[in-house]
Amino acid sequence: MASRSELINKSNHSKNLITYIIIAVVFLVALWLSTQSDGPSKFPKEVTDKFTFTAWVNDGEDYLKKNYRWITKIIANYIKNGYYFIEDFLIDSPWILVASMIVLPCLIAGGLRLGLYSCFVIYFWGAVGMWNESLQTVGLMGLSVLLCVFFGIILGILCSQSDRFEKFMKPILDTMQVMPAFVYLFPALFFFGIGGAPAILATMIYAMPPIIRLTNTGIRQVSEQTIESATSFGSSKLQLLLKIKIPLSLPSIMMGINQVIMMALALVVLACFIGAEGIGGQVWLAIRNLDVGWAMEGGLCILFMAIMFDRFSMSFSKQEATLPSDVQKFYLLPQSWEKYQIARLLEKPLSIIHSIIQYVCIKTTNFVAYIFNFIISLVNKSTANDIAEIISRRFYIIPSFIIFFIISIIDTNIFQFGSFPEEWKLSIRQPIADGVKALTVHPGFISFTKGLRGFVYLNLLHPLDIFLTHIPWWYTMAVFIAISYFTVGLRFALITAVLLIFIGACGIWPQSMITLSSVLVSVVLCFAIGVPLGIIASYNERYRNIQNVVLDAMQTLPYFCYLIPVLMFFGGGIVSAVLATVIYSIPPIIRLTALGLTQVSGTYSEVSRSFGGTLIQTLNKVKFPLAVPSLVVGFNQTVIMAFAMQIVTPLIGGKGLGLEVFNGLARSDTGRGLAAGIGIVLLAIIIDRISLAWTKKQREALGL
Amino acid sequence: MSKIEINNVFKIFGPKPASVLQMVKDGSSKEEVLEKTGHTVGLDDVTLKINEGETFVCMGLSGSGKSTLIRHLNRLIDPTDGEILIEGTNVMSLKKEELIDFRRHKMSMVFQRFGLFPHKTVLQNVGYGLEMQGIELEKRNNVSMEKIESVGLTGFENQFPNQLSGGMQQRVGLARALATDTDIMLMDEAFSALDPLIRSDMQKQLLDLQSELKKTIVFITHDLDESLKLGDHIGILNAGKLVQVGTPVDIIMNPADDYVEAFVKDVNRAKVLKAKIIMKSINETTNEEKNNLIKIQEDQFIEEFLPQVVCNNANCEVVDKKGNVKGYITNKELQHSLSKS
Repeated sequence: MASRSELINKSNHSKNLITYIIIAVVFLVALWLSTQSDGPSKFPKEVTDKFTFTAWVNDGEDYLKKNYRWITKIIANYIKNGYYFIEDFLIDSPWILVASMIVLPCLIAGGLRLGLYSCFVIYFWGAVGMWNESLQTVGLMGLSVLLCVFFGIILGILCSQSDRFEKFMKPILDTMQVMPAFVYLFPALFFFGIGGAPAILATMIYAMPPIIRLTNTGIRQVSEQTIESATSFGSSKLQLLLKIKIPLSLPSIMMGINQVIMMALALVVLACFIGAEGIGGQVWLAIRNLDVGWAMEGGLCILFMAIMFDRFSMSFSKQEATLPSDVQKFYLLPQSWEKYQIARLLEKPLSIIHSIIQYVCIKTTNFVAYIFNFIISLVNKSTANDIAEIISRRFYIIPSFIIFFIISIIDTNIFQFGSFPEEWKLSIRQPIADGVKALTVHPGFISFTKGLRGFVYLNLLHPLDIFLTHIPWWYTMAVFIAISYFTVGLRFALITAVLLIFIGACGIWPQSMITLSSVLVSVVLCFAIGVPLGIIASYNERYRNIQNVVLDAMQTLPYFCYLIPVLMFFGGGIVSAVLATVIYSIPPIIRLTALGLTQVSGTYSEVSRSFGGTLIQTLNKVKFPLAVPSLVVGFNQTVIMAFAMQIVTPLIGGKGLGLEVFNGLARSDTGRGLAAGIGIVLLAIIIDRISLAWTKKQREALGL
Repeated sequence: MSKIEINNVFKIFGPKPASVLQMVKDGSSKEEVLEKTGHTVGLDDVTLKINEGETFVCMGLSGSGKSTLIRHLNRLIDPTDGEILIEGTNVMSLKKEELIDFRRHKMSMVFQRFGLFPHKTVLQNVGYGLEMQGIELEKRNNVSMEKIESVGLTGFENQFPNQLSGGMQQRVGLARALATDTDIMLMDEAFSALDPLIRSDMQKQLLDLQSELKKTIVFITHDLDESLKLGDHIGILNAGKLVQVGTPVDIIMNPADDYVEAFVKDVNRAKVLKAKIIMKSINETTNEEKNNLIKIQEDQFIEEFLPQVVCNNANCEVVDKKGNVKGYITNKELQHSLSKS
């Protein structure tokens, strides 16, 4: 037995050695080939000339426009009407009504803290003069979320009820999850033209996977016991679904809605590229004018909005902790300050106000419920009871509607509130611009940014660009196909070949190599910064908690926002594009490094230390190898995010496929943009598949 | 007519149960079937009658098929072969709607892990069966409150299940089963998840309720003491086969095979055998044996009167509640009933 395992170990070792040698040889050959060529490698001209994908797409678009536009027009019209209705309502209504329609739900669902925060957010929108744009974004997002949740829950329920349907949906959802957001903009643009309607449709489809998935798993996770006990009391299948399964999966569904909201917000902001109105357009305009203050205002509007909607939708899936009766409940301050006398004094009036409001609300609601009960009981007594009970359980909703009603009446009859008061405006555009200016003329800062830019460009980006673009296309392609073959399998190797040939034949090979090099540099930087941060986080719990808060905030932000700070401090250019990509795509690698390392069971590191391993040795020989699968998942997510970011980086000087997409959209050359967009997606898919297969192998090797 | 009749029920788990049925009927063992076909035999030719108003305890170790058996009664699981008669109706012949109706009105069930709905209050949980029966809210709440009171949970009706302790949760489960006022109650390891003290508390509560309600109870447990305490009849399952059915005393005094014997070997007989069971009749008793007597009640367990007997080196005169002499117990009977065979 022993000798046999030795043999296996030996063959493993030599196998590893051979792999390393092969990699080295492949690399050296590539290096040699790239120095031999005198210009960027291009796909054979005969092929690219014949394969005029761009023209075909544009012809196809014209054909569809001519012949089938009427169908998409009908759909687009319905959506447009719905959207205009909401937008008109939001913009034409007295501002205080709109504000109360946002603040009251926040107050009810998230308590005083969220209520106050939402007041601030709304004030900010008005103060920086982006009231209408913000509401346009809210309207676009609201309608897409509504549609998305409606269809998503239905599809999710269907998935949960039929294994066959779930099996059918799963690969579709998997693919959708990998796709960067902008992918959905092309078909929408293609079929529905520019404007709000395609933005809503694209957003709806883009944001749907999580709600389908979470509805499905939520329903499927209802325990067998619960289902059995409901069945044993004679529930029919429908009763089981409506009374037991769906109510029990509500937290999961709410989590899905939260994700839908965040994804929808990200895409709605991005949809300014296809002509949707809103803050996204403002930010875009600001960035093109290099107006940092303006861009910052827009970015902050989006940021505050994102955090507000995130907290709002999260508050539904969170259960309120029950406090012991002798502890005073805090409404504004953190509960942990309960021990301080001053905090208790401050909270006292709040709790009195709270109980007064609660009392009034309950009385009003009960009164309304009583009236309903009285009226309906004239027709049917038992439904009247049920309805009254439903009303009286939700004792904040009726008073809210009464408040809306009163505001509307005051507005039409007594006093017109109109739009957000001019005198409350407080632009922060100039101070920000001045502040940034003051900082950016500081010699130390200039030398720092210059140094960083120079370092990244000269040592990483430029050589890699030259290297990748100068390797003959057939060689790169062969390497990719070989990797696909050895990690995933023959079928995927063939698919990789077809996808790469497509990219080449579209005539965008050089651009895709530039994109690849930006992504690679970004990912390398992400690792160089993220892994150490993850290691620190895995050792220091306090730091980890702080870092998690920051990462959470980062992950709720639409990717537009990352451009602004980079633009502010580093100006435009290809290095700025890489830096923005790094900031955007670093969270997963930090998070998963920390997760992977903390998940390694305490016994392993104890064993290692008991044999006299130092901290570094333990980390190196025990923890890291065990955390590899987690790291690879982080790598995978980071790469996908980095690819997704390529679509917006051209705004601050990014090159490659992203620039092609951007130009395609800007010049309404759909074919060109689509080809480049597909290029990004294909590269992302190939790398995603390879790294996923690699994760799986690592996991199996570790027996996880 | 028996309340519940189970005739030659087979249950086989696996992709193609019907194909394996004949093999099981021909007497292949559980292991053989598993090895050859990959199917698991859940129940193997179970036949059994349960009378109205009795508590029938079905006992076995985990994997013996007892939970499978109880789920056949309300068809949470369908048998592979055989018939199940409840009040003479063949449950297998019920259509979908009839089955739902049957579950609503004929039997209620208490579960091992309580099976309470976490999103409903105690009151709503207890009222769930009534809700299914289509009873309107007001009446539902009245009945539920009554049952909550009868299990001693008044004041907790608006709490949610996870705010209650395990014992209290199971009381809710019990109240829910009682609320529909069905003739038959199925209890699947109802007390197994509870601490020993709370468990014996619940057993006592069940006995009290049962002495009033006289329902037909099918009780599943893996605990022999529990089955001896609660059961009018006990059925012992091993590997899907019913190996013995009998009264608690039958089981202890005459185990049908090695399996049952191993089971009852460690039972504290003094704790489960009553005076009236081990006594000999007046006729068999000689006059010398009627000397030095102490009086004991016929329903007393051996452990309750044993100390007295030992202290006084006495013989026992067994009397019923009215004081009539029913029989006698001498050292010989005690020795016989307490010694492990």
